[in-house]
Amino acid sequence: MTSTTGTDEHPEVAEISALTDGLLSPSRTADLREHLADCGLCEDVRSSLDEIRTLLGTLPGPVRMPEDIAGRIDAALAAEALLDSTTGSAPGADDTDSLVSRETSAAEPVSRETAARSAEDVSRETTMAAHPRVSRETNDRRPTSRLRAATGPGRQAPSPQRTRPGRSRHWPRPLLGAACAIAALGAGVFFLHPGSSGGHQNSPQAVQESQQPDVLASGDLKTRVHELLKTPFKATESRGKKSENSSETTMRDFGATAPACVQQGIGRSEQALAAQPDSYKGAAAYLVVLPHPADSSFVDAYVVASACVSAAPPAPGEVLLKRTLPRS
Amino acid sequence: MDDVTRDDKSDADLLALHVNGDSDAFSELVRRHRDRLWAVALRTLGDREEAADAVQDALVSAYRAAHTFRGQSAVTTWLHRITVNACLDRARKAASRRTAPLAETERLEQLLEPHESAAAPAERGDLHRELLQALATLPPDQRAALVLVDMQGYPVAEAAKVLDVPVGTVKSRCARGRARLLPMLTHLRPDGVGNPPLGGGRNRSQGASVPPPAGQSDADPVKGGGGRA
Repeated sequence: MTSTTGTDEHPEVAEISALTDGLLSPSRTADLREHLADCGLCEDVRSSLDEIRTLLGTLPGPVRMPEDIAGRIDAALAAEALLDSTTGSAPGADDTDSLVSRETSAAEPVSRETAARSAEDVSRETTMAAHPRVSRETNDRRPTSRLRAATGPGRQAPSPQRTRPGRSRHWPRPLLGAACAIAALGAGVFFLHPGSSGGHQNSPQAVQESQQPDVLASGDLKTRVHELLKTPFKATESRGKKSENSSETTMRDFGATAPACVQQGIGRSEQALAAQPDSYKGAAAYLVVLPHPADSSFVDAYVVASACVSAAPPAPGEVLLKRTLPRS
Repeated sequence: MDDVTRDDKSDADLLALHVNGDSDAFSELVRRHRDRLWAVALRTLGDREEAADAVQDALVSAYRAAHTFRGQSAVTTWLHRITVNACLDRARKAASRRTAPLAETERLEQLLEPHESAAAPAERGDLHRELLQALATLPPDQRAALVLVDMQGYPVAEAAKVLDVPVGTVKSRCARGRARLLPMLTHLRPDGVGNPPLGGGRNRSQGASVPPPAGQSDADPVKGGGGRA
């Protein structure tokens, strides 16, 4: 027993482990090696740690992604692909561009889709129906959460296609049918925000604006959104499935509540994740962040002119900008 | 058909094709990598549904964000990073909801290959279950590092890129993770031949971190020199 450390000073398991990974200082490494040479117990710990490493490496595990999960992921991606293909724009060549144009070009199928179920909600129609199609879309606010539950691609509402074995490997085409349905529903939620209630139902200016950087007075839109989402007021809890439950509530629970006309401008009834006065292109505006209906890892950011606050007669705020951004 | 012509395309080529509007390129990328992504996700999260959601979130994000890929790392690293981040997100949230999110036996069963419980010797099966159970109690960061390095066999440098931390951090997460696993594995030395059980008789405040295993050793802790091979 020439060990300088002595048996009363067995190193911690974590330290022996660190030794194995070469994480200790040279002098400590020398000390420990010396101790291990003389201490069977610690040497045992060391070899057991090696054994754990080996065991982890030999643990039988998943070799392949199960068919049903591969299928549902394919369906989710096919829905994405479909959204892209409806506009003919490259998928991700310019995210914001394609997102914006998606909203406009897919409006037709969506209004058909929503019209089918709008009857039950007609009585909820409150504000100016500037255009019949717009009114159908805005009427549809209520079922939003129901739509969303069905649209999170592949989540709570498994469709038969998703579990069809054998086919899933060749998406998107065989799945396009399913994707169409999913995409149409998903798109439906998208378009519920009409910048249109302000009177521009096809919001061509949104497309033009997408060519320019999204810069607010407070900085880059994306950065600003991420900052807002990090503030204590952000409803972290409302992410994902939970947000669907709470989506019927109106905006509250955050520091700055957007004025009613701003909310009307956005035309979505669910609770905002954040709302903040800002300025966009020299005009006073509100930045409002809502959960993205189809995918909880994204958020929809709206910049709405706050001129509506003092407008007479009262009118919904004009949506100056809408972007779908990754949540983080 | 398509698959044949795409076989010679690199991952980076496929991603570029996707960004340029090729509607099949991304699906080919997914086909190439989904099994590995799935293995990482399932082992990190220990729950089939959570893992499926995580991979789906990750791949949809990657699909949308493909144009932001700058080629500073390999496409596969990038995909892994997005997936692991999605997993860690979920794991941390699960951890805040429950203390041991995935310790139930049924869940462990589904993590082992179907043939495992039947074909493997009972002892080994027990050990595997114990290992998975122990793994589930680790902090997500350590778990993810162990999954990548020890279980999936990625080089430490690659794991560091995936986790976006320095190499040393990956190593120390692995080291700490293994150290935490050790006292939980009573099956590690079923035979005990020539080896005192783990932690048996360790004499310095080990009671807390290293509970003595069921079968106490007869080795005298004070004369520690015996067990060397």
